[in-house]
Amino acid sequence: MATNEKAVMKEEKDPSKLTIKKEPDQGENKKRNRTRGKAVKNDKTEMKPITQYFPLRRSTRRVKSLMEEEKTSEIIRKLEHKIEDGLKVIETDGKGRGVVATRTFHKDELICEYSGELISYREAVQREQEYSKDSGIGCYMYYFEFQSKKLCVDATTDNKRMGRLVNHSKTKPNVITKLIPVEDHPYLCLMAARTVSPGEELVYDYGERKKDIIKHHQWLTS
Amino acid sequence: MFEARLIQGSVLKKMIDAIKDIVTDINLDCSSTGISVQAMDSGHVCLVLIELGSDGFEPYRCDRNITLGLGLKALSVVVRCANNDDSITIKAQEGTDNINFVFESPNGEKTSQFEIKLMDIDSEHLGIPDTEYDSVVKMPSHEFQRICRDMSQLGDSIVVACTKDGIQFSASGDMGSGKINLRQSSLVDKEEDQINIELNDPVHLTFALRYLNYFTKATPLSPTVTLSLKAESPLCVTYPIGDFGSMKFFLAPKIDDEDTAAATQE
Repeated sequence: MATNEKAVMKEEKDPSKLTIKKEPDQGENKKRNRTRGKAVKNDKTEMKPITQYFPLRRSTRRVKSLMEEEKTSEIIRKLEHKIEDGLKVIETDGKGRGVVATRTFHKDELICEYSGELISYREAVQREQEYSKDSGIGCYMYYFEFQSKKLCVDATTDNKRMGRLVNHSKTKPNVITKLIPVEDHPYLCLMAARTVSPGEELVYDYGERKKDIIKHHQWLTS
Repeated sequence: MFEARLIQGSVLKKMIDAIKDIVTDINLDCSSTGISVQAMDSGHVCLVLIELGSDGFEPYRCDRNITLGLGLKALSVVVRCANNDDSITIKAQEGTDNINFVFESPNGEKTSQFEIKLMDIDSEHLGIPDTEYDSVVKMPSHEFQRICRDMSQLGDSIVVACTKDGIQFSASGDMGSGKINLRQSSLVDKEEDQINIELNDPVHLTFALRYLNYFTKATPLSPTVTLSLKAESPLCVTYPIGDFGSMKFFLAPKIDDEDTAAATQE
């Protein structure tokens, strides 16, 4: 292996100003990002930088607060753009319409918003009385408390959104509701309570505990 | 604490000589399994990947993962001070911003110590996917060096075409053109003189000779070189380092006119 060049030993110090840097392990990211070479008509042939073929790999170790922030901004983005992907409306046996997942939802991932008209408690009570006269209208009132005010989202009107169609399960819910305020506007969000696989029906606990109501709606105990 | 002793110090010299024209700074990513280096040239056209397993060092100690940023100029100056048969020990203490190099002559009569300040190098790590290449050609490294050198007299780029008949290198320019064909060798005295072609699919790719001529500076590292080719993907030129590591160069192909594009589709 040795070549015949000879080097002279001498003490030498490098004067450049340098500092130490420590870096944690790099996470594995085998994602492929191959760009298809489109022929470029040119006198000179073109060459793409290597970064076009090999994706930049960032350290997977991130500060927890940063990750939280990223998650929240993603949720806000989905809420503001009314993004409801990976969901499908189905016709269930005996429960009317329901919603199933068409992709995997990870725990704590936003599934969709329970979207409707945000009204005051008083208004809601009045409307509910109104609605109860017509047996054809189901119950789509979701009561909650926000900034110590009682409010309600009324989703009685079919607004083509998924949230209002998610069915109830007290015993085996895979979705929980969470109130997420975005600039003082409360969003009622349906979040995955655990990992939800594609094909699973999404269900959450409607939270009704009043005896007389449960008596009339036996399905609330399921 | 990081400490690694390379018995054959000349390997380090050769590695640095091979990359010092391409990159200016490198990060040595040291972990318990070994040392790895990933670096790009300033134009981000090619990528150098060095991997050295811990078993190539005696002793090797890396208490925790550490990244050592080094300027190649300084490194080159220091390493040039080592004799070829010296062993080289690299040491870095935690909490300091220096890296130490100790050269020891085989008879132990002479030891030299050097210290380089570490640099904080912004490293961009690329994820190199596991690729199934269409053609993998193993050949004597000096042969490949010769071909690249000869072809660069003719033109700026080299066309590498791999078929079941062998591998063809060609270049053309104002002066004229040239072609070199290599066939899989059947009988050779030395294994390292063998030309071995593993072909899944024929490929036809064009590369900038300027970069290949940089890569072939690694020729002293190994008697053999492996060219891994895949349509529309970067070429991978691999020089094994002993049995414990490798130096790889990646270079994106030149995108040619439709002829080449059509040929690569075959």
